[in-house]
Amino acid sequence: MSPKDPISCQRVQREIGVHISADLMEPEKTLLRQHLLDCKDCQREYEQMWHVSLILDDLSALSPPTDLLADTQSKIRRVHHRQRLASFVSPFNWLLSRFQLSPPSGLVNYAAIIFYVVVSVFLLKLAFLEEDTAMTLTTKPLPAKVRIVQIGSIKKSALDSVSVEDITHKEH
Amino acid sequence: MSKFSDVSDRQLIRQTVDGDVESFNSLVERYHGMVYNLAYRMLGNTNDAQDATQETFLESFKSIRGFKFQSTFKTWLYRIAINTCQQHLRKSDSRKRTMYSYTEDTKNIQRSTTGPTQPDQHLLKTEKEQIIQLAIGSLPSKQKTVVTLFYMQHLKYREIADVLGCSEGTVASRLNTAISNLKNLLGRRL
Repeated sequence: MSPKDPISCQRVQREIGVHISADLMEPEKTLLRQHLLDCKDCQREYEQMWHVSLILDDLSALSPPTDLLADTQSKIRRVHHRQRLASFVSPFNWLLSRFQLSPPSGLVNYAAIIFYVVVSVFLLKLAFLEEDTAMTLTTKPLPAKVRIVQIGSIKKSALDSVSVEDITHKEH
Repeated sequence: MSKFSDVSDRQLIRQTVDGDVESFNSLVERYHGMVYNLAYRMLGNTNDAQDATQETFLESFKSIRGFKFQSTFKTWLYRIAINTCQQHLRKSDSRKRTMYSYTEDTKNIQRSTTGPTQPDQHLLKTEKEQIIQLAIGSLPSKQKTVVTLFYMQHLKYREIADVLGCSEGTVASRLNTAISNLKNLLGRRL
């Protein structure tokens, strides 16, 4: 290995420059070190690299901005809060975030379940109990044919006092 | 001082997995300086460094259940931070912002040194550090990463190799190439 060989110079600078490669075996390492001792170009390069290395060593650590920690922790709390919310409460979560409210996740989940149950019962009542309610408006027996005298809203108590005119026999 | 200051990373991770968010926030308190320094050296400006720091912790919080204790939490966090920084570097405007930030900072230094007071050692050091930072910023991503981990984070070859998933020889080789490049970039400016 000649000191003038440029490939060897590159290899020396790459593998036993400021940082000696741990992968090198001892005989190879000795040869490269010997090259460094003999080659003036490699020595100059090594000294300059060493100078840069010292400059890098001297770089000071930076202090993070004062609000970075609090901001990051706050974001993590928000992510945690969202993770604990059930998927079906997303409209509630949207509403709460609009008002910048942050109640406990469990409370939001339970409130959403109660809300959905109440709404479901109400809808069921509307769908199936409407007909029954209409039939219980009056207890009087209805004649076969009835002439409607007036159309409009009538209270149940008022309906009980209304006399229904049986017109079947009059037509005959 | 945090009430978790004496608790090990392992214990805090277990408590986080069990649903205690404040345990994770204690880890954030412990490592946010480290992640911020890494991000600043890799990205070269404070805005990107802050964004990357927050993204690193959010990402690690979301995937904490996948942490299997096969490495230290610090090594795992370094991996996430490096990935996050590399994603930032891929964004086209990052380098432009570095240049803009450097130009603005240099202008500020020039303004302050032309005033009635003499330039002091602190300003000279700041300017020198900015020149070095700019040179580090122009290195290829892999070289930038090893330089940051070795010189700014003071990790050993073995630790860097663990973080990057390569051999110690590769780490040494990348460091030498990076220093050689920095030497050429800095020239006689220092």
